[in-house]
Amino acid sequence: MALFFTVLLGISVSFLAYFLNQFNESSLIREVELGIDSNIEAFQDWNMLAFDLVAPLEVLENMAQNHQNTWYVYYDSDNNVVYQDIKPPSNQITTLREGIIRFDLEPESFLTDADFEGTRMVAAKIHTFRDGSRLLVAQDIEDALTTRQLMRTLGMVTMALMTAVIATSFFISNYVVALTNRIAGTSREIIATGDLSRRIDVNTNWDDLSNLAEILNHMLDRIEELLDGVRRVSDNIAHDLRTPLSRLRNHLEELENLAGKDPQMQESTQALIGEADHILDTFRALLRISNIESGKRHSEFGTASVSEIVEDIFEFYEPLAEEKQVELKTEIEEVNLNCDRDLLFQAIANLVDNAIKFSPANSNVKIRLSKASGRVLISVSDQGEGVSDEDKNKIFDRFYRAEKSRNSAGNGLGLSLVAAIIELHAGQIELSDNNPGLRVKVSLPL
Amino acid sequence: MRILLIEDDKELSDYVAKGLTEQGHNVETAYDGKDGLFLATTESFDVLIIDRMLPKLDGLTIVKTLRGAQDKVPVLILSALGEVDDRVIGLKAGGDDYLVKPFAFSELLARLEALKRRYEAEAEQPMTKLTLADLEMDLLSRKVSRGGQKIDLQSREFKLLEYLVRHQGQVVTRTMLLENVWNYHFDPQTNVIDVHISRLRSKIDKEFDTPLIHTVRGAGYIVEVA
Repeated sequence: MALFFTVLLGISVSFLAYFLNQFNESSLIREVELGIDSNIEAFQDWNMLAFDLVAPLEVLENMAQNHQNTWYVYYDSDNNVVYQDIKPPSNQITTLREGIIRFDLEPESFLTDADFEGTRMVAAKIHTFRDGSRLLVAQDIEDALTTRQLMRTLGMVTMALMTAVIATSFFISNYVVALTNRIAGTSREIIATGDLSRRIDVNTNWDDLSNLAEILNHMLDRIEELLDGVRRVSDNIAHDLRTPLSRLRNHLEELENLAGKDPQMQESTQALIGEADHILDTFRALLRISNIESGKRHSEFGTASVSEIVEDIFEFYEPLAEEKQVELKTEIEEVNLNCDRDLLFQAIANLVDNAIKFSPANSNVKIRLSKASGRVLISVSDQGEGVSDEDKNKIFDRFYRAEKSRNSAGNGLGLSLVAAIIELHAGQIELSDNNPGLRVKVSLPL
Repeated sequence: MRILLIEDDKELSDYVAKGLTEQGHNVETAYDGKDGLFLATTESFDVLIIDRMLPKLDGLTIVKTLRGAQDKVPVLILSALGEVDDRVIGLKAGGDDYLVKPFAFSELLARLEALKRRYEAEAEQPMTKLTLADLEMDLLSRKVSRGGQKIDLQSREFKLLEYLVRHQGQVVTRTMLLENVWNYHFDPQTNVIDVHISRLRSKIDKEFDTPLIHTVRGAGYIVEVA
């Protein structure tokens, strides 16, 4: 866009320059010379055709009447003045170009009535005919010259202005494009990473765009604040409800003891304890996620073998898979990583747990661990129903459960926890189709 | 056993003390760090339960002071929720186990008994053989047999059984198994532990008349001759 405008302006400036060149002085003189020449020719024609009938004096008088701002002096072969309507000065004559002279005419030099004020500049040419007579034709160039000069100055000024416009527009468009790109880039990154603490980098506010960026930054501040607020509220709810809930659970345990051997009472109290446990687990998971998300959990980072973690996960989930008639496969490369061992185990375990949960009988779940260009790649693929594109964006949200999984066990927090853990490790998570099934790819920087 | 409970939340303290007393334990309580340390140093206890945040003297300082004085009494540290991930700090200070508030009483009880057992086991000669009824575990050759019949176990199954048998007669929670047998602190989404236990059961109990592994609903498992 910027380039387009610059080129357009550039073209118009060159056009202008071309025209200005056409309007210079020599072209003016050429035009004047042509005019004078035509006068001389006309007089010559008259002479040739009608010399005997009409005296040169009459011809010139006639011509002088027809041509404004043109004056004539005619000498016969004996150098006597035959006709004269101006008195050319004897000095201060300059040559404009070969054959063309220039001189100034004072007001008193005009012999006919001329209502000029001040000195006029004229260009003149003297033609000597074959018979020895001479004709001087003078033409006023004062007005034309002034006009041309004015136009020239005007053109120069316009050109200078336009060059300035080009430079300014180039600068502005460059600036605008750079800033727009910066705004777009930052926004895209925020959307991609979900990192709301990022801001558009602006250091001035003199222009509208910087103003816009600043307003966007304020909006981001506000969004972050609101999200934090929402998070805080849910944390507080979870936090404040945990104590009374565990008290409730403890009382239920007491009740169970009091129930003695009554099987019905036993069963109900145990069901109640189970419910209370489920709620407590959900709260614990929620608080754990926000604890990890707040990014304070770097204290337990240390070098650990990811291969060992994946092997342990395989070993841990293998019986569950077997029970569901799902074959669990691994492909493990030796990889060490600075990570939180427990959290990484949790993240991969949740993915494997999900994969097994949504696998049909007689299918397989594959865990792959590899290393490529400075990153650790962990993928978990199943052959279940997969996840619709629509759900792909949402399954990492808290409490989100795809339509198909509503009836299965879980609290809808497993993948949120995975996302939080991967985020803590500065990694990325990506969902793709395994045709059929889902493949979750986690990539962590080494 | 004789237990010292140092906890400033009176309601919680009363509740835990009552529960432990009902289980036949002898419980002393202190409501601040200073009294607690005084009691811990002047009297002898089997297990200490110490809250991290205490008035006058905080829990970790008590533990450090005791360890500094070569007192090896097992300590279970209780922590408020904000410090979920301070487990390492608590254990480094000399705590033997760590429990985050709020907790289920059954979890606390199971952990206390495990602590006491470990403490006693450390005092004894290192064991090379574990037995429970007709079940025998050779910890050196990693062989298991029941009623003279050899049982093949995978290494993790062996570890699981070992942990259970070492704590025979006590309730062992799923979290305890995860932490001690698998050595990971994490929350499984599904009860994978149950699958491992049922696998183990099929090898240990299936062909025998008296089952050894029992499920305690709402708490965990217990290995004993019923």
